[in-house]
Amino acid sequence: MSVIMLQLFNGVSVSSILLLIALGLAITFGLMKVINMAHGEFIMIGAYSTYVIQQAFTSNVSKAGFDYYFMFAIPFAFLVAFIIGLILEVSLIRFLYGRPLDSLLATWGVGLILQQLARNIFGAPNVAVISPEWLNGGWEIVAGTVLPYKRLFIIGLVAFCLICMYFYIYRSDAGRRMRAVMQNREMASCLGISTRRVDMMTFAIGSGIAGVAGCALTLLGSIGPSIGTYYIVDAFMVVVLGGVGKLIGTVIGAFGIGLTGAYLEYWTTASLGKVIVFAGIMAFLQWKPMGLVTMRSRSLD
Amino acid sequence: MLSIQQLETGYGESVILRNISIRVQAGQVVCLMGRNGVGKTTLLKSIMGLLKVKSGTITYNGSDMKKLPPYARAKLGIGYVPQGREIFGQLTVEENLLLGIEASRQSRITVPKEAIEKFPVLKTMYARRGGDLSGGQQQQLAFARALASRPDLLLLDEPTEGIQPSIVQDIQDVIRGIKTQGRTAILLVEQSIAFVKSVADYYYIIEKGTVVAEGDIASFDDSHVRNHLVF
Repeated sequence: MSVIMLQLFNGVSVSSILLLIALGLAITFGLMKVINMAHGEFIMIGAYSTYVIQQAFTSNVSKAGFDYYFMFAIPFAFLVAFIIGLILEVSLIRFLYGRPLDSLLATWGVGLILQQLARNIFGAPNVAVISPEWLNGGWEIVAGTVLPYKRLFIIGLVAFCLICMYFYIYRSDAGRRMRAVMQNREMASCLGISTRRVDMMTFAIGSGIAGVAGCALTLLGSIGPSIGTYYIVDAFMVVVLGGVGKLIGTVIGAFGIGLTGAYLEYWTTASLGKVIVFAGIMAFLQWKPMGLVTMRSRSLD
Repeated sequence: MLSIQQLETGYGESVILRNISIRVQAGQVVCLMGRNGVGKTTLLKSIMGLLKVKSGTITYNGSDMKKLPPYARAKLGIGYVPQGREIFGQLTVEENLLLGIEASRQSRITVPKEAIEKFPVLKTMYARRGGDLSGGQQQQLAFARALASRPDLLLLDEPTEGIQPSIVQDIQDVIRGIKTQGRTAILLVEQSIAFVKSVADYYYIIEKGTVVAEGDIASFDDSHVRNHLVF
């Protein structure tokens, strides 16, 4: 019983990380249709931003103040990734809308450049980010079953990001403009919406959320210049499985992969579990190429 | 208020409009007529900025807007009801209407009354998705959306095409109402000769991408129909 419950927690934990790395991609790939291979590098940027904040706190702030560095690191990681995303959109991505294959190659190149840049600045070996003291340890629900605070914190962070994104996309004026532009660019423009500004903001926000994901990943292990490449495939899997264009699809996709993965890996082995999950996704996409959540209406017929 | 001089546009290499010149004055209803494929929609699209102009000028209230993107033109006070309605299918009716006020120069947060009072049926389906509406309802929504920003010039591309007679009647009444108020000029593409005769002040007949006849609506007679509009 407790094993099943623990696997459930592990599954939710893995799902929440998958969701966090896929949320940004759900915007840049799902809404904007840019195959953004540099998405992983925005995760890396977020992770190194956290490292920079930690270094700054270590040398400037007392031991008691250090514990709160993470609260500064999250918005800082968002901001740095947001600004670099903005620069990338203005200088490159805007020439690639509607050209998926070109955007794939170009953003892959950008990803390599960013990785090398990180190597030049921070060095090739991985660096460790020390987690704040209050995130060490765990919550012991029953004897022998401990839920680590770090994992619980990440689940909370993902929920927070998800709620913010929901309100931004579905409840705010800017989000309404964004959905209008992504659905019908020409008509949105004819109504007086600055499509350029919406494109810039949308891509930058997608990148910023990748930065937050990078910040969260520093809690789970050391970080290196190529940290993003470990996650990029999973992120695309989640978005494609969930169905592009809908936030709820990404959520279902992440939990689908995360939970089945956790149980399959427990019942079989780690690598076999992964094989079964990916084979299952491929089979599913043969059956439903549009993913789990599809948009349907008269206007699309 | 709108003056187009020697305009030439097209899609890629093919030229659709050549040497076309038209004028719309404030408060006037001007009708574009012509067979299918002569370039009426292309003309409206180039006024809105959706198509690049090869040569010629588009002057609006005295300034050239040839280089402006569509959203800047919308903010100058041009409303557009395109052929095919172009409703945002995944957005609700209310969201579609709220997007209509993006171009309005006053800041608003709710849908202005005058936009929907002309189409009361829309009020009953605020929460429905635009894409789930029928063709006629979508057309009314597109019309209300364009009116929401209180434009000075309204571009209407066959607003009654493919719609049941009672809604055609509604839409024609709305166009007449706008004309009576006299605040908004209308450039109308329309195939119904009877309706054009009843509402327009001025007409242009287009053939092969250029104007072949124009004049006050009083001078429009059956010879025009025979020569330019039948087969």
